[in-house]
Amino acid sequence: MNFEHSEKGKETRQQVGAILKSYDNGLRVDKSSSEEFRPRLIKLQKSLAEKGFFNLSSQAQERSSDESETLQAIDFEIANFSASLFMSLKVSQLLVGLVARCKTELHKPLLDELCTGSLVGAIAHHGSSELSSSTPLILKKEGTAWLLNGTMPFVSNGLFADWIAVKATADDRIGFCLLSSDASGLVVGPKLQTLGLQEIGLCSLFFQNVAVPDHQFIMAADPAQLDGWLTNSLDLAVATASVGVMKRSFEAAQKHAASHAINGKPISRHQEISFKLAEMLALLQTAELLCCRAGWLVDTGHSEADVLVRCARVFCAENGERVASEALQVMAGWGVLSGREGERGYRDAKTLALTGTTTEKARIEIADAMLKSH
Amino acid sequence: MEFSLTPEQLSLKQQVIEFARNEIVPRVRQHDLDCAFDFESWRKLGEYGLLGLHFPEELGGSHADVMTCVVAGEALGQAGVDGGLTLAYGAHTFLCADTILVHGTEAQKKRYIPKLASGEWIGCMGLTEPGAGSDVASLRMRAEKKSDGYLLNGSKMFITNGGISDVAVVYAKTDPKADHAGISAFIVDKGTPGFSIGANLHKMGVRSSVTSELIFEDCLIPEENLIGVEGAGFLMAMQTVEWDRSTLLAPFLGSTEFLIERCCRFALEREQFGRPIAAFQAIKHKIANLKIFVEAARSLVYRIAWCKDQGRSLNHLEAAVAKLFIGNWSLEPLNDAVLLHGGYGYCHEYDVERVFRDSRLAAIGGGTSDIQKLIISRLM
Repeated sequence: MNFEHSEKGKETRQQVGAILKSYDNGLRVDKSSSEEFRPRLIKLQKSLAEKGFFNLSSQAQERSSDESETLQAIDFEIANFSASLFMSLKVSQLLVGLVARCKTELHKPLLDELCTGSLVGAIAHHGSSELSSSTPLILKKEGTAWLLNGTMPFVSNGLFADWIAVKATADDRIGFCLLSSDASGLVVGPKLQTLGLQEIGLCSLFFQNVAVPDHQFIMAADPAQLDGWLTNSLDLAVATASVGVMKRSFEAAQKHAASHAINGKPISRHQEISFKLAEMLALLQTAELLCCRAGWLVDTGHSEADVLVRCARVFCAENGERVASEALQVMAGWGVLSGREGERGYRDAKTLALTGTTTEKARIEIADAMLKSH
Repeated sequence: MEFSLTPEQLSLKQQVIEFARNEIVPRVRQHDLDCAFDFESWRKLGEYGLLGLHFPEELGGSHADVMTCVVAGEALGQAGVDGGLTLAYGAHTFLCADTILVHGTEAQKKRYIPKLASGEWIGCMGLTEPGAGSDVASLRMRAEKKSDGYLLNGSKMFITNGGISDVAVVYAKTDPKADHAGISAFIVDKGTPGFSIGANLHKMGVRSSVTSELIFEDCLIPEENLIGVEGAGFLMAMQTVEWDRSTLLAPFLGSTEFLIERCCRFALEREQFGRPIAAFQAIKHKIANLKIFVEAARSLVYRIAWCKDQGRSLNHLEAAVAKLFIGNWSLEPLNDAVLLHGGYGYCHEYDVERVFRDSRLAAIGGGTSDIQKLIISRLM
């Protein structure tokens, strides 16, 4: 067991930190429009690709423990900077990973281009039915062509993606349609205005007789395993982003408490405030460790990995809300001002809590696993 | 970062679980009901080598690292050993014996450690006083230097193993004016004139452990019973309570695993409205909450164990975070475990109410949750 970050991990964090510093601060990134956000995302992707970091998540095989730790270090650094930038980056990386896992020789040029970081990816894998959150669309054969029709709501990066993987079934085979954003019949809906993570280009995608050549319908050898990888990756991303929100919220509250005085005494010296900060720090450290451990279990192929990822997803997201709310409380009037760290963290925390596997579903999955094993 | 246990640690865990289930757990309920210390289980813990796991082999131990001790403690809890016995073990091994091991002279180690390792002698640690709990530095017990030793006067309160101990490590002021720097540590043997045991305390939980008042009235102990040097006691005490916030938390992890198993079994067997209650989401929610809590807590306890294995003498922040989290955030999932069992959860024979009562101590003993918050806020 080892609770220390490796020298490589620390060095990587510093390198990524330096890249992010060139961005302005996270607050300004999160107030950017989609037109401003997309180039920032690509700039980050390319910078990471130049250092060999971007394609780490694209590896279909297991990563070495060094590489896993490097990836975690990068993730935490970016999540701490901006939840929107981080989630957009992860979705883009997930497309790279998806193509890597399903690719044939035909897809190698696309994969190579994706790995340069110059393209933005999106994955549409929620169905339009209100009853099911993961119903794939159905490809129908018309003559020699497959045609895709339907709607996929809530697609992150959908607004500005270059390539989109759309979950679909074709003759009972489950896979993904690889579509470029200019595919005929693909209509990108307007930006969905959300409570938090406002910059991730969330929109609905409408498919009207979109032609999908055979080679652009990609499948993994084991679709269930691919689904599991996608779900775990997204849940871990949500957990990591939540830890980032917690860290920023805590730091903002701590800074405010140290500098804001009442009767000449910083409010951090009042137990009502200092004890809140202490609880926040305890939750933050617990969440970060749980997130790291869940990621490690996934990377080592541990039998309990899925359960731990759900645990991390629930714990980090729910306590992200808790910490963000307490931070707001500490910052009082200053906290609720628009555009400040307090209210941004609060909005992002709630939005993250609703992203990926819902906490309700996650709890059911955790319990089912426990009941099965006992 | 890396989170694996060694094959030896995993193997030890299974062995301890099996040992405890066979040799100790059958007597747990009755001893909790009777508020009686289980000397037979204590003897077995000693024979099995658990009481001196981290002591050097030449002093009767197994030279295990702290992580291994945590694994063993967790295993005891997971097997269903009650909080009373695990607390007794923790106080004996980590609060009493370890102080002598780390800070004692060779003569002190040779005299006390082997018999503490075997369990032949039972140890306790006296720090808290009736008027000095969270504010440890304000302790008033006096150790007056005399020509033939130290004269102890004062009392200690809430001392685990106090009433059954053969050896006590106690903290007293050799210099009342010097605040922290005036505190020194001493070894007091049972039967020393002037040393007596006050009333045993009847508690909400950990009932099989004996918690007592220790009374010192002109108790003269030889000079060689001073541990370390005069004035070094406060630092020793801080290192000691760090065990409270690490290895002594391990059985709580195990007990939560024990509850998960009990809850799952009950939920699968108990039928209401024509189906096992495990089919209801409200029940699954409770089971999930237990699992989420134990996994969140696990890394914190392992982290502090790892810190201690790195040779860091004090790990205030890590220890305080672990203690605060387990003390405060265990309450709701443990409550859920009782509720899941309905009326049976309120009854002694189903064990869950005992774990609920025992675990309540986590937010109090070894430094209350508010003290942990104070420590964390000072270190931020």
